[in-house]
Amino acid sequence: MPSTPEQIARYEKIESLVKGFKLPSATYHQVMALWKEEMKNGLGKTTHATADIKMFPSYVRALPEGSERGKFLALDLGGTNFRVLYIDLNGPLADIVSKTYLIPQQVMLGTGEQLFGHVANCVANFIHFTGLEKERSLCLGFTFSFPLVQDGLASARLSKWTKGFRCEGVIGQDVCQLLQQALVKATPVKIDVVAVINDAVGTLMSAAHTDRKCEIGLILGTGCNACYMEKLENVETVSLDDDEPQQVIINTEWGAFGDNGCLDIVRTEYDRELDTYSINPGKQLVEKMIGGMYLGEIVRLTLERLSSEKLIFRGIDHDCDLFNRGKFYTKYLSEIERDNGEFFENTKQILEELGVETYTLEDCKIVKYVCALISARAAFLASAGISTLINSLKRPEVTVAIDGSLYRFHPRFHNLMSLKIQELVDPSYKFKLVLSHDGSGKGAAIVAAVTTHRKTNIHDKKVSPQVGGNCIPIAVQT
Amino acid sequence: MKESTTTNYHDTTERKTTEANIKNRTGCSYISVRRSFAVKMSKSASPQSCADEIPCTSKCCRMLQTFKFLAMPQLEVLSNNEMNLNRNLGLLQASVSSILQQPEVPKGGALVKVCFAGACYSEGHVRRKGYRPRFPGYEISGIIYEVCNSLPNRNLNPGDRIILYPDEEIADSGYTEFLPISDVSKIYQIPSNMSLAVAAMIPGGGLTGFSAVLKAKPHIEKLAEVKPIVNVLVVGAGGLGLWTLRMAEYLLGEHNTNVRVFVADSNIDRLLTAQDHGCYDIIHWNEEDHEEYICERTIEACHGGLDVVIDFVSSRRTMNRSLQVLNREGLIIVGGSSVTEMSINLNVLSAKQQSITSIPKGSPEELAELVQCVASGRVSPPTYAVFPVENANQVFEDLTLARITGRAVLRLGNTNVDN
Repeated sequence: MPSTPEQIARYEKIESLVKGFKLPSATYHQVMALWKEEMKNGLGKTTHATADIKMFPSYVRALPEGSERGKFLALDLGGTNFRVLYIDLNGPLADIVSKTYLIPQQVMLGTGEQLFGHVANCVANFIHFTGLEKERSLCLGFTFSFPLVQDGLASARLSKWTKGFRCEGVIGQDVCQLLQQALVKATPVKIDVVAVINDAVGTLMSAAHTDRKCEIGLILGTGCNACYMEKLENVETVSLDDDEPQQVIINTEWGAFGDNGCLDIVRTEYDRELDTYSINPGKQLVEKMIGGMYLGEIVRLTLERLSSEKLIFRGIDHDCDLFNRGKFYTKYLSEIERDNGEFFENTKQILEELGVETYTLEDCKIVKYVCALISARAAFLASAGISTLINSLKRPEVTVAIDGSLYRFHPRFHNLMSLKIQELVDPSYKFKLVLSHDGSGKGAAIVAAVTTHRKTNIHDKKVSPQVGGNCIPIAVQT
Repeated sequence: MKESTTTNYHDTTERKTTEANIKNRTGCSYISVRRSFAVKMSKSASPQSCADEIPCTSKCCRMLQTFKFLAMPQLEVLSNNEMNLNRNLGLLQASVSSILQQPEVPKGGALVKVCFAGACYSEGHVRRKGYRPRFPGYEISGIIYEVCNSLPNRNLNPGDRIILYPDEEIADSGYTEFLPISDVSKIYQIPSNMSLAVAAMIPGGGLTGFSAVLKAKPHIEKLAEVKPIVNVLVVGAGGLGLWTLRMAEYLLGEHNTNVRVFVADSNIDRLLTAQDHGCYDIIHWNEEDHEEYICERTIEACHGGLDVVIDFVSSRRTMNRSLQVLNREGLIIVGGSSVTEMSINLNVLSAKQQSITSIPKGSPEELAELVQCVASGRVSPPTYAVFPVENANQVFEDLTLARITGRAVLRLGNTNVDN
C-alpha cells in the first residue's frame, strides 16, 4: 500500500491514542510484584482487612484422587441461565446429564424466597426429567458464582449481588440454607447440599479429576478470578480442622486487584472512562481490564475516540450503536480477530450490526488492530497473575485449569498466555494450560464427591482408635 | 379468552411503499379524505340508528354524521390524542378544526369501521434507526359501516363483524377509523362467538404461523417415518412464534408424538411465555454469548440436532446458528422481514441435502379454515392484551423491549363491542 504523508501522520496519531495498551515486560514484572504483595496481604491476619485481594478460604481441603464414586447432583447458578446436573462418578469416569433453566426478570428482581423457590422447582423438574425420583437421597454440590463470605464448606453468606440480580433478603444470608430450605419444599427426594463453591474452584476440581498436577484454577469469562491450593501454614485468616490435609483451596477474588490505586501504571483513559460509568466505580479494576464483560466496552470507547478524532469511520452516523454504551459484545473481539486475509468479513458484519455504514477496508484493519491490542493486554495481565501463583507454588510442574468464554472462544488467548507466562515465570518451573470443561457444573459434583468420600474416610479413622481403648478424640476446632 | 400477558407479532413480509391514495380497482377514481382524529362514536351515530331515523341516501347520512362531530365538546380533548397519534404513528399534523369526513363507500365495495388492529413489530428490525411499525398492518377487525347499493347478491350488511384478508396497500395506509374496501372478497365475516380482538390477529400472525407449519408438515411427517424423534426449532418467541406453536399443535399434535418443537429467542421472558404455549423446551439465544456457546447449548438441548427450523428473526446470526446445528436433509423455513444478505456454502448444503425455503402467503381458503378452527376452539389464540390505540407508541416500545410478551392488540376509538 502506498504511504502518503497524510497516511503516516494518521497512523502516528492512531498509535499515540492506543499506545497505552502496549506494556513493556518490566511493567508486567512490576505488576507481578504488586500482585504477590497484595495476595500475601490477603492471607495475613493483620493485613486481611485492608487487602484488595481477599484470598478467601474455600474450605475445600483436597483435590480428587481419582477413586471417588457415587451419584451426585450439581447446581450451577451464576447468571440468568442456570444448570442442574446429575453425575454418576466411577473413578475417572463420569456420566453427566444436564439441563439448562432460565430465571425470568421478575424473579431476578423479586425476593430471595422466590429465587430459591424457582431454582428448587427447576431441580425438582430435573429430578422428574431424569427419572431420579427412585433415589432415596442425593448429595448436591452448589456452584454459586456471586461474591460470598464462606464460613464452611456448606456455609456461605452472599456479600453482594452482581450480574443484574437484586433479590431481597439474601445479602448476608447463608445461601446453602436458603437453597436447602427451598429444596425440602420442592421435592420429596432428600437432597443434601454438601458444598458451595464458586466457578474458579469448580474449574480446578474438574480438571484435577483427570490431571493430578492441577493446582491452579482460572476463570476468564465475563469476569476474571483465580484459585489455587495453599498450605495451611500460610493461611492466617482461619483455623481449620486438623483431621484434614494441611491445605485449602484459596479463592483469591483477585478481580479487585488494583482497587487501591497500585495499577494506575497500566490504566489508560479508556479504562478510567469505563470504570467511571460502571455500576461499581473504583472496584474490580483488574477485572475491568481482563474480564469479557468489559473488553468489548474498552474497544468501543477506543473506536469512539478514534472516530471523534476523524481517524476512522469518516461520515459516521452518530446515532449508531458504536456510540451506545454496552453494545460492543466481547464475542465481537473473538470474531474480528478471527478474520484472516484481506476482506475482513467478520469485521464488516459486526460494523453493520452496530449500524456503522461508512467504513473502509483501512478502517476494518484498524478495528482489528485495536481489538488485538486490547485482547493481548488482557491475556498478558492474566498471565502476570498466573505467573505470580506459579512462582509462589514452587512446584516443578503445575497444571493451570482454565474455563470461561474468553479463553475458550478467543482465537489467540491460549497462545498469548502461554508465551507470556513462559516469559514471566521462573525458568525452573514447568506449566501447562488446560481447558477445564464444565468446571462450574462437573466441578461442583466433584467437590461433593470428594467431600463425601473424605467424610467416610474420617469416620473410619475415628472409629479405629476408639477400638484401641483409651484414646481421647481430637477436639474439633472451629 | 382475554389474559393479562400479551404476545408480540412479527411482521413477515417486506415493507412495500404504497401511494397515499387508494385507487379503485375498477378504475373509478374518487377522493378519499382521512383525518387523524380518534373520534368517539356516539351510539346515535351507529349505521342502524341512522337508517331508522332518516330514510336517506348515503350522502345525506354522511352530512348528518359530520354535523354531530362538530357539536362534540370532546374535540378539544381529542387534540391531545391527535398529537399523540401524530407522534406515535408518524402522521402528518392535522388541524383540530378540520371537518371530519369519512371516506365514501367505494363502488361495488363496502366501508369498514376499524375496531381492533394487532400491534405488529419486527424483531429483526429492532436495531434499525427510524424503524416505524406499519399501521394498521395486516391484523384488522371491524364492523361493516356501509355497503354500496350496487353490490349484488352479497350477504354483507351494516353491523356485520369482519376481518380482512392481508392487503399490502391497507397495511401501510396509516391511521384511519374507516377503511374503504373495494374488493369485498377480502372481507370475512366472524362467528358471533369470536371476539373481534382475537379475530384481528388471525389474518396476520395466525395465517403466517399456519402457513409455516403447513410448509414444514410434509417434511416432518416424512422424517417421522424413519426417525424416532424429529426436532423442530422455532426462532423468535414473539407473536409469530406463539401462533406457530398453536398451529403445530393443531396440524401435527395428534399423529406425531415423536415431534418435538423447541423455541429459541434472545429474551428470557418471551421464552417463558413460549413455554406456557406448549413447546417441548426453550433455548436462550443470548446475543451477548459467543456463537459457539449458543450452538453448543442448542445441540445439548436438542439431542440429535435439528431437522426443521422456522426462523422468524432471519438475521445472519440466526441463520448461521441454524446451519451449524441442522441435520442432514434438514429444512430451514425463513419467515423474517430482515433485509440481511448472507453467503451460504452451497457445497455443504448440497452434500447434506439441506434446503432453505420461505413461508408462502396463506391462501383465502386457509384463512377461512383458520377462522373456523379458532371459533370452534381447535386452535387457541396466543395470550394477548388489549390497549387503546392512543397508547400505541408505548405498546410498540414495550413489545420491542419484551416488557410485553405475548400479543398486543390495539383498540380504536370508543369501541364498545366485545374485547
